[in-house]
Amino acid sequence: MKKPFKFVIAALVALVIGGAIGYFTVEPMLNLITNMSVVKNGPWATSLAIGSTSANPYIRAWVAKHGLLALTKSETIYLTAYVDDNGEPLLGDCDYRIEGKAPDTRWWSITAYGSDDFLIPNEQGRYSWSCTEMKLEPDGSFRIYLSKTSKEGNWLPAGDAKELSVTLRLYNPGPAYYDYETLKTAELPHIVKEECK
Amino acid sequence: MKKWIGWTVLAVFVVAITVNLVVVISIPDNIMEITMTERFNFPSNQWVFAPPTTHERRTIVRPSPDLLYSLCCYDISQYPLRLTATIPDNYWSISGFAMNTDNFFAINDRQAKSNPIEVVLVRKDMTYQDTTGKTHIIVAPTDRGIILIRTVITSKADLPGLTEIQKKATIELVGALAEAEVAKPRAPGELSFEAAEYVDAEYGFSIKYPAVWMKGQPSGAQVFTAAATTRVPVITVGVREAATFVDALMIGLEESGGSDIKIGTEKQTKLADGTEATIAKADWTVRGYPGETFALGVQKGGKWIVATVTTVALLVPYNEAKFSEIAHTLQFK
Repeated sequence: MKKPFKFVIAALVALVIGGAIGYFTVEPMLNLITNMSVVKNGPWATSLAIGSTSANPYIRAWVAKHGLLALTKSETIYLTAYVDDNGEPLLGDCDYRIEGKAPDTRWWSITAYGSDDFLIPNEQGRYSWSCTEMKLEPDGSFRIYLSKTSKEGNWLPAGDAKELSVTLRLYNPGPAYYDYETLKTAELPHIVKEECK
Repeated sequence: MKKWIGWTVLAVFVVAITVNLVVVISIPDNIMEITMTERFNFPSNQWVFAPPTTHERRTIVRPSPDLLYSLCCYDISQYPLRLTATIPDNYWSISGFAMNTDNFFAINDRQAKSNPIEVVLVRKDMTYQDTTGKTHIIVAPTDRGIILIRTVITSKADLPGLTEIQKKATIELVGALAEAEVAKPRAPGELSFEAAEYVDAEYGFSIKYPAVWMKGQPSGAQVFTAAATTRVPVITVGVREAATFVDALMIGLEESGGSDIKIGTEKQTKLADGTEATIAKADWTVRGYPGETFALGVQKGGKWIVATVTTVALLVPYNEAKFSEIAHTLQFK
């Protein structure tokens, strides 16, 4: 084969195969790089670059898809859990206890979402519990029940969702949550699986 | 042969990385564009006061049901944007998002210089003089984007009061260019704006309008229409058979989907070419928004030629001097 012909073939192969690989690996790369960039503490994960100009293109794209219009860390930190304390996925068929001490922040809330990243339909119209409305335990700690069936206390209905996630929003958070190192060890709520049906 | 295979594999690798990065970089801009133009689909530079979020609202992913959101798709390509809002007693913030989704500013209730807070959004090449020392002047990295106010819903009982406070927010494009033009001395008869001209051969008239406005598609008895990129102000010229100027104006506003039309006192005026004309101001409701119109009409051959300049004050304030100046450029051969 002559050289120019070889070059054209090689260029076409590179464009077609390379283009296809590049395009179809967008989603896996987004998840992979985001997963590598986040800080994890128990079941919770976040990126302190959310909303920031310093966010890398993969974090920025992931946030655009899964948390559009999120604020920067000085205003709000969004910690999301797709798993429980044992690292097992949060499932609608299981009952969970989310419990712990009130975080060091001006205002906070815990919200449940379905696998589509939207609020879970339920008859009670209850999608979250915030610090201003939840009932606290005598020692000042809190306990939220995430389940399909009703529970006494701070019940967060799971509706008919099959897969769940919860987001802990910390508005004007304390300094412990600002830094990657301290956030890794900061005290955050536990997500304990009680039973599955 | 092996050498060629090696180079081809390398080229595949480079193309794959490049394509991957280009697609990833374009995702935030594309999502913002779709959100603003298709999901929100409301005019720029206007507050939209959303009720508390439920599972039925599927506009933005992972919304917070504990917040009242006030949204605005901003467009400062022509003028700075002034926003004011009353701040309640609990957590509250106003924030801006560029087209690449970057959160380029956030001010909470404790950082606000005043209550109500005043924020003026400007482009890099715009200047805004803060005369009160209490205005937050924010330079936006992109001409378009989203402004969001978050108000914490402390309890269901507080909701009516918070909703009332939420709706006190205001928004207006600052007529910086118009103000600069007023300050600039002009020769007699010189227009305060760079003009484009519409010439109607059939009815023998011409009218001038700001050159930056975009021509639109006339409807009904309209023969011409053009509007600012922010959709208002909008100029229309209609030719209608009617007994009086008020009748002709009324028909025109009704044709534009108007209701609750109130036409003020008619006054007589003269155009630059000496033609007698009638003017009046009309207040009306256009597609649910309060509209204000400066109207000028001339009767020719049993028909009324009516020029109107209309705005929705929520978006762009009514400027009688400017609107009258535009309408008075109507001339007959």
